[in-house]
Amino acid sequence: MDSNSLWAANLPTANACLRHPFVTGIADGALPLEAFRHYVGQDAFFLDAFARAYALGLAKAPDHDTMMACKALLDGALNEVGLHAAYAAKWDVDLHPAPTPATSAYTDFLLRVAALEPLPHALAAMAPCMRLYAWLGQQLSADLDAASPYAEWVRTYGDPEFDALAASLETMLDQLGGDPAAMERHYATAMRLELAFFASAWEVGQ
Amino acid sequence: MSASDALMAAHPRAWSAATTAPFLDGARDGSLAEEAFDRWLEQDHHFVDALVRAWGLLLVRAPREDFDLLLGGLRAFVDELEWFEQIAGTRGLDLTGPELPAAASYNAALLELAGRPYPEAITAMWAVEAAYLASWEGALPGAPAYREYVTHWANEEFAGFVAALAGIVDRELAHGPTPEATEAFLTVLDNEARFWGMTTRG
Repeated sequence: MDSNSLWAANLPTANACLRHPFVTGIADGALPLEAFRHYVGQDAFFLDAFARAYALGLAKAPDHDTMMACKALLDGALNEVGLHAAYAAKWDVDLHPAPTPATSAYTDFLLRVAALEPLPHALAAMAPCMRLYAWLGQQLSADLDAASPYAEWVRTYGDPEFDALAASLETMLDQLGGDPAAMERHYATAMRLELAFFASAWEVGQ
Repeated sequence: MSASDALMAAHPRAWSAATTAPFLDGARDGSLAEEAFDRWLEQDHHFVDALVRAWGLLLVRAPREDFDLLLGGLRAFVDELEWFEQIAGTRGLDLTGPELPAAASYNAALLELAGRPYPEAITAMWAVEAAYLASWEGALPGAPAYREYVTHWANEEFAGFVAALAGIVDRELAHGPTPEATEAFLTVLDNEARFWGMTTRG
């Protein structure tokens, strides 16, 4: 059991995300602005929890290399926060909204696993967000409508630099090991919560 | 008076014991043996490793408005660990040796303090940095052999960071120091005092 097989086992959920009208709407620009603004605000809340989970990773790191990798990933999460601040300025997004049930379900899950379980289990819960976004960015880049107001989102996650961040998390996950059953469960749960997160934002624009 | 000022003012002897030591005098006047300094650096590396973990725990419960400052601190501590790796080569340090008792006790206390309710935890983490800054400021300008180290820790950027942390303490303890926060503050100072004497006599 490694990060490749975890991803492969969850490819149907990844494809469901790729085909979801929220995601296709980002690529072709058809997504209502209201839905995107809602998504950015909720994602800012999510990233806050994600950064805290990396902070717990730093606290639990079994060795120096793992600590450095967690720090690099934390920096990456903060870069994303910076991107959200740019969106917020451009489109008047509230970056401090109350979390919706879909967001709370995801952040509560992440922080619970990160706080109570060994680091590799936390990484299994965190990997889907990184790998899924890298994969979506790459898939959507192929036929991205450059005129889409959301093209920057696709370029950010389709960038090789983001792929490298996802890969560094997966390398840690593969090296540290852990209870395979727990890791499979957490990975699948996070993938399901990703899809629900997109779906929840989509409903706002309908 | 702000809570951070009140804590320092109410405990002058503990503050003085935590921020003055023959070790620091020696770094200022050049009488500190390099051997004692190197052994101390090895222990300080263990301490910074514990500090990174403690701040990880602190961040989990920190309000979002404190995030930028605390993350900045956390990243600076991780950079400090890399700095230790660099000087380990040039000074011939062993960063993998065991913790001395004073360091082991401080590192354990640090993790325990970081897990307390936020007002106490942030008070403790501020006290660590404030005492460290005051200690090295007392060693300025530093003897030639130690000048680069003294100014590595006693500088305006670090002072600004400590002042910002004091601002959080003052906000969290808006009605003055609580008994719990005072106890956390004194626990840090007690450990600081023992840390300076770890590799020197007297």
